[in-house]
Amino acid sequence: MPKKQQKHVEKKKLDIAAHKAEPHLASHTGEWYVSAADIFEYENEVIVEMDMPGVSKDDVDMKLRENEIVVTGHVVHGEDRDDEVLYREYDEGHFHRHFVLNDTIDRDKISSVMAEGVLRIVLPKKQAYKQRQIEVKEG
Amino acid sequence: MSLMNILEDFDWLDTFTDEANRLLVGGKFPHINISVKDKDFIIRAELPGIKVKDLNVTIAESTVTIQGERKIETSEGSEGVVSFHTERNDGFFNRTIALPRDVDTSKAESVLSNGILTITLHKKKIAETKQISVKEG
Repeated sequence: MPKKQQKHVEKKKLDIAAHKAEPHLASHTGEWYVSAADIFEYENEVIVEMDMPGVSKDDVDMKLRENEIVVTGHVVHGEDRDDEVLYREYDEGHFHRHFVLNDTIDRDKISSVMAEGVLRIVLPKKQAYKQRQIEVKEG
Repeated sequence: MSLMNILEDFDWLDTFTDEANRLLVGGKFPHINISVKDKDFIIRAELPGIKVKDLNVTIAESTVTIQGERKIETSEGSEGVVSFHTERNDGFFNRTIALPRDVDTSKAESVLSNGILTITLHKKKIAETKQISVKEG
């Protein structure tokens, strides 16, 4: 059975018009993309991982607003310091994405880590929504 | 032969040709950009979520090969996952890129930082042209 091969995921361009109110988008020049993300739901928490290559911890802005998380990642473009780009297969750009939260998430316990160009957000569920084993007693 | 059998044969054929293409061409992940800066060629690739220990960059006479594996924690049906939504890809990758002739393959640097791989290759010093005298024959 052949080994699983990784395939390129094409970057999705951000629809700037739909995000006109976002302050970050006006402050940086360059292209904007929606970062690819995976969402894993476990019994007691939800994990979101977003690919933002070229973004370091200091370049991530994450806000919690009402019922959504808004993530912005700025990329320091290595190519800007080069003399000339000879050959291009991908475009560099900043990242921006919104995630709507539902009621099961405990907003006060949200945490996140940025490493290797991946933002990992941990969203613990509220106590009431955690799965619990209920003991069945003999009646 | 039932319809299901016919479809299975075509699936196998697709997989086989994909594999054959990959073996011949070496796959097209990661996508790369090549720039020039001063006397260097710079190859960049986006490789988020890859640890240095899972990445190999090798330079040969006229090629550079980027090879490794990305692992995503719960892509293979781990325990405890209630539901998931996947947009990203993981797995093995192996891509060989041909280099221009004037690259000095004895010196090269590669750095993986924040999910960006940067390979810097220095151009060979071109031998100076020498004047040769033309004798009358």
